[in-house]
Amino acid sequence: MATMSVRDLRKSFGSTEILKGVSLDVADEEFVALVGPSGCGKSTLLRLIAGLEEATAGAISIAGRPVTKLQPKQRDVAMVFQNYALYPHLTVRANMAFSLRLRGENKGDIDRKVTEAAEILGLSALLDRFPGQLSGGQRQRVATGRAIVRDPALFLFDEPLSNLDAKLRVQMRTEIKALHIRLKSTMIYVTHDQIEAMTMADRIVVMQAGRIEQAGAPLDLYDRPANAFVAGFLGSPAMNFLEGRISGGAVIATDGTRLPLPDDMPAAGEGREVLWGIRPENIVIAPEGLAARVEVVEPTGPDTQLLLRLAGQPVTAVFHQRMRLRPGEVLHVMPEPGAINLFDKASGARL
Amino acid sequence: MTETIARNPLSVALRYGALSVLAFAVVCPLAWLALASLRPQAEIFQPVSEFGWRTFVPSALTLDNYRALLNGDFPLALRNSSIVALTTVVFGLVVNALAGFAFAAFEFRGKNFLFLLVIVSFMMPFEAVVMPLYVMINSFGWTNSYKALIVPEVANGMIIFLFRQFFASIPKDFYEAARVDGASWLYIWAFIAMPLSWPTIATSSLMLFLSQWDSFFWPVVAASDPNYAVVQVAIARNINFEENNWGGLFASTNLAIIIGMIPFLLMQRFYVRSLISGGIK
Repeated sequence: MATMSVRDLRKSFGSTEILKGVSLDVADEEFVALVGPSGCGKSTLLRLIAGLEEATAGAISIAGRPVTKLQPKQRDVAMVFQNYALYPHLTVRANMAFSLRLRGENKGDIDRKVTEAAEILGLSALLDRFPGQLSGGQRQRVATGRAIVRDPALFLFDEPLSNLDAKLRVQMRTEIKALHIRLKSTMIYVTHDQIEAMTMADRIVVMQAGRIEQAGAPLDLYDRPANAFVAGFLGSPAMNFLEGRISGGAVIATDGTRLPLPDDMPAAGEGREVLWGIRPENIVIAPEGLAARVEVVEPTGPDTQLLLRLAGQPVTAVFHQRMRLRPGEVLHVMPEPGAINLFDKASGARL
Repeated sequence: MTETIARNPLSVALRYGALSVLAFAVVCPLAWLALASLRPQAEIFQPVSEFGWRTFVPSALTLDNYRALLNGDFPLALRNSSIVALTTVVFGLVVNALAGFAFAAFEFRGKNFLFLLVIVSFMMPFEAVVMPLYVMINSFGWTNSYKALIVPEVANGMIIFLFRQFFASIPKDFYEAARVDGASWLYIWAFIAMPLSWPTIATSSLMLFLSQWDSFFWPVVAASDPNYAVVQVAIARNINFEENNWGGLFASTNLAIIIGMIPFLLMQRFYVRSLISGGIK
């Protein structure tokens, strides 16, 4: 197991720059999730680490060893692909043994390692089947198994669960996390699903347009996002942003509603254009609060999700209770103390 | 489709009637050829002039034509053609599949231009290149040898194209997963790409085999020595200025057809599948 680091990594395809200088350190045994919208460069970053693409500039090292110019096979990494890439003409056993055979290990060792991995992943009964005879979840496990038999310095996952249905995805999420704890290995996991990233990772790296926006522990990022992009990307339903201007110890929304400032907010910044952010679950009902008209009511069972019109703008709120409401009714709500986020409107940076 | 047809017996009758006429038109000359080869030499053209049921039912069957063939040069021609065709298949598969793989898997400068040349190469009529090719083969000192018959036919633009199309349809993940696992490109080609391409291999083998089995013009030009006569050349030798050996012509044509069909019958299953599926998921 090992550390991984990239320094000022850049990658261009023709005149399009996909990665615009990315630096990242991954500690030994750490599980890091790379998240971001489509086209943010997270998969490209992973492919550069694997050696499937050549870096335009910058350096990559794995376990302290510079690997920037090395072929994939010289990097001691294993990768799990989104489409699993199981060879259809080989059995599960042969698929899992593929890399070991290539390395020329003896048959006894190969058998032992494959059997061991199959046991961990619950594949023992399926070893002689072909990939075409497996369900989606089983294929995913075989793909993971093919990676773990190698005992690599670094595991790379490229959206490994995105082809599974929602229920199976939750189950496999738990399995991969358990695997990480069991193997004590360094893993880098690319996903566009922020829930996956939040639940699995020791550390989340949020990327956008070829840059790292913020990296940190999941709940730190959730509670103290560095900018409006990270704030909006993490969390579902997403954080609400209301446009306004700081004036007289409050944020004046576009329709003139006075929104409270965070408690720790210094008085400075008078007249500044800001985004006033509040997460849906941080909105509480308070008789003395702001008037909000109910537009849509969505009961999910344990929760009720409401689309409100607050200060003339659409706001999503989630209440952990059942509510008998009709569209058109007016609620009085206010933000929980300490839950307000303020961002500069122009730069998106946290204030 | 089938339901609408089944509802109307008249259209079924018309459909099968028309198909029967077509089938008869296709099979008739072949059947006549097969029967003619079994007739005594003197009787071959007799029934044609007085067309009737005798045209199709010979008065006597004889294997004389075949016996004569087997005692002549024809077995040598069969041997030559088999050596040439099978060697072409073996080398052709390797060379064309490797070329197709390069076009499918790699990015390199001038790739599109090269691929254009490959496509042009199979659109150009062979007659257009036969003289320069002969000059080249002659300067190598290869005339009247198996090399002259085999080497120019090994690389085949059409088959490079077929392999490229197939390899390009294999998900790139397969190649990348293998690379991360430590496989060389040659290993990936041999143990991942090729085992998945059985239908294309079958189709290509057949095309290479038949192109050699049926070739006439190039063997006449490049290997005129009777020792290197191939099947089509041997067939043509039955007709010359001195005599027309019709029995020999029909019998040798018949044998050439039957032997030429063997590879197709063996690979039919794959061949049909590749025409239907065209790709894998």
